[in-house]
Amino acid sequence: MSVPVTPTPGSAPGAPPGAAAPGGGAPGVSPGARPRLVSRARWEGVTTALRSPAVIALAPLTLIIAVFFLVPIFGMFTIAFAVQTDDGGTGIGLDNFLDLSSHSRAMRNSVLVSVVGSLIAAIAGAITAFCIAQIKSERLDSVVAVFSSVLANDGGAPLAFSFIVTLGNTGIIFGLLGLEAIGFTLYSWQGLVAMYQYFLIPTMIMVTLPTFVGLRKEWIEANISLGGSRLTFWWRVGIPIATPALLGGWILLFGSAFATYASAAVLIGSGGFPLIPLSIDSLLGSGLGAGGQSTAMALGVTMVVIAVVVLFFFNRLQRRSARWLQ
Amino acid sequence: MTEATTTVRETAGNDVVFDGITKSFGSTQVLQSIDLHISSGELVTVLGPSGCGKTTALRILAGFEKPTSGRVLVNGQDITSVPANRRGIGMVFQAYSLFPNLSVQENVEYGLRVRRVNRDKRAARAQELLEMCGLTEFASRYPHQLSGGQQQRVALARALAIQPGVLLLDEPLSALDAIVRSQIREEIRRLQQQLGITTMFVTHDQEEALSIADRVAVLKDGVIEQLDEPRTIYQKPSTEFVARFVGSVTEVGVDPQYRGGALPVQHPDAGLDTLFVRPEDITLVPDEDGPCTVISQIYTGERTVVRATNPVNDLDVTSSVSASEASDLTPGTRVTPQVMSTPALRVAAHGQSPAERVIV
Repeated sequence: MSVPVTPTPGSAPGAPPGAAAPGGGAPGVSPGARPRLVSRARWEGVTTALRSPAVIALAPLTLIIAVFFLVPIFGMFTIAFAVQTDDGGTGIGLDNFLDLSSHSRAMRNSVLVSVVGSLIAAIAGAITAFCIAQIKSERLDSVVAVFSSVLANDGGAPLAFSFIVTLGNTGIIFGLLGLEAIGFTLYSWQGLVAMYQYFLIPTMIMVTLPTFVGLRKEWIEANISLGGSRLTFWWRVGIPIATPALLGGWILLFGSAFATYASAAVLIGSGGFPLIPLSIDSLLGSGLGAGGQSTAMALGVTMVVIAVVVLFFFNRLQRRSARWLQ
Repeated sequence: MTEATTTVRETAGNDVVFDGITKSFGSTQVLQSIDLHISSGELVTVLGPSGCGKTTALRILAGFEKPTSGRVLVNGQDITSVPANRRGIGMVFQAYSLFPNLSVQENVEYGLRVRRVNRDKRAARAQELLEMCGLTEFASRYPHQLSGGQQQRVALARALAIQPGVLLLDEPLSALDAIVRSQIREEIRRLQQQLGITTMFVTHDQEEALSIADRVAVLKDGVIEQLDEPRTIYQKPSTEFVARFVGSVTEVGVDPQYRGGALPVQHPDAGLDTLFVRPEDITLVPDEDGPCTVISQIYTGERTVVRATNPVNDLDVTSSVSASEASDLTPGTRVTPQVMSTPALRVAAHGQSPAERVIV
């Protein structure tokens, strides 16, 4: 599983900032004031739409979601919470999660790589997005949006191989820069962090560029006419407005790095440096039987929980930012 | 009012001079030698179609644009090269200029905060302005929780909080609906007069320009066509552009000898003088042999606008009459248009000496 790294509604490339914010559109209506999650008003449009015959068009999507998403998730949760009872039957319990303590190293590693990797990428990406926004070219903005959304979804084995041939122990750049002298090796947590930048930085650009582009000329000029300087503007208005998007972006990067599997697997393998996704893989492949599988599913559930939490906060922050930038 | 208002009075009322201001963007000349003197405490509206340079003129005074040549003086001091954030000029933008991350109160306090005014003074001043603008209850709201009209009131309060010597308004009402627009227009005028603050108000809406101003500057292609009191702009436009742009007007061609009375309804042509006549200066006299036929009546409350057309050349004549007069002018009635008082403008036939404006 992985955190979906696709343009979110609030940051759709090319869309005017905030235009796609949930509940937005109607001028004067605060998008923050939408109906409660559990209420008829909130789902009114959905139920009407579902009654239309056009709902048949949803069948292929529904099928795919069911087969590749709902069934596996259901299976994962079932196995993760299933425990052997004393009388030999099956019950519900948290036993499988107790086994997770033996994977604390993988947890620590995953958190370390994700925090450091996402922090570096968040800073680099935000600065890049800021600089791009200063050029004030709509064409450049949309080109950047397209490229960064492509790069943000670039990963997996090909990415690992391209890093191995450039920065691996016999890599071209590795040799040219003499990285061996400073003790750098790609096959370490630092290596992972470096490799993750390749898709994390574009993700950050994709998420924060609309915010920087959405800072209105009127705000900058109002600040000046009120006697403020450039610094005053950024200190009192620009950065506060950008903060939700920056924080949200960082959280998203964390989730994205945390869930990365394929490229890490190719680079590190399942040996020296355990990460949660790699541990799941090795548990499933180790032939430990039901015990290993149950622990793997418990780890999987843990990751799903982390992903949900990440997306929840990302969505919250993104919405706040979109509301300001309407 | 309280003490702070008195201090505003002391600092307000700076006079403004545009001295031979020109502005070009690349090869496009936006302003061509603008000379304009706004007296202390005066409200001048700058009226013109879009692209006439009115916003550029305002932005030059605000300091957001540098003039290509010429000087800007405030209170006799040349401020042409003073940066915008040191000019102490209040500005209200078209829309969406409030800082979205700050509450109404914080928005109003912003300029004072930048000036390092202490917290208590800042809050007191903000409260006072919010009161003046009828916003007290919204102090802790955020801009996205306000209607467009409320947002513009806050923007006005924010601009006035720094006790500016000059207030600039850049089409501040254009994003609002008609009722709110006229309300806020009146409020702006009331505050402006109460504070005695020199104000430049840019608009493309002629009704707005006439109703709020001490004087109106009509701008066309970067040139001031006419600068006069609203009444004069309407009744005695000095150019054809002003006559057409401000108010409605019927244009007819008349013989250079024409001195009033029954109006020959013909299109302007070579060898003829052109009359620009306001609706209230034309009467339609029912006349079976009259050249025109009434085609429509538009009831506007106090007056009724009656349109008659000359079927021979399709020239329309517009007259504004009272309700009782209108009852004789039902559609289909044959009429003779008559010019009853001085037309707004008379342009002499090409090559002739300037026409006299006065007839009757």
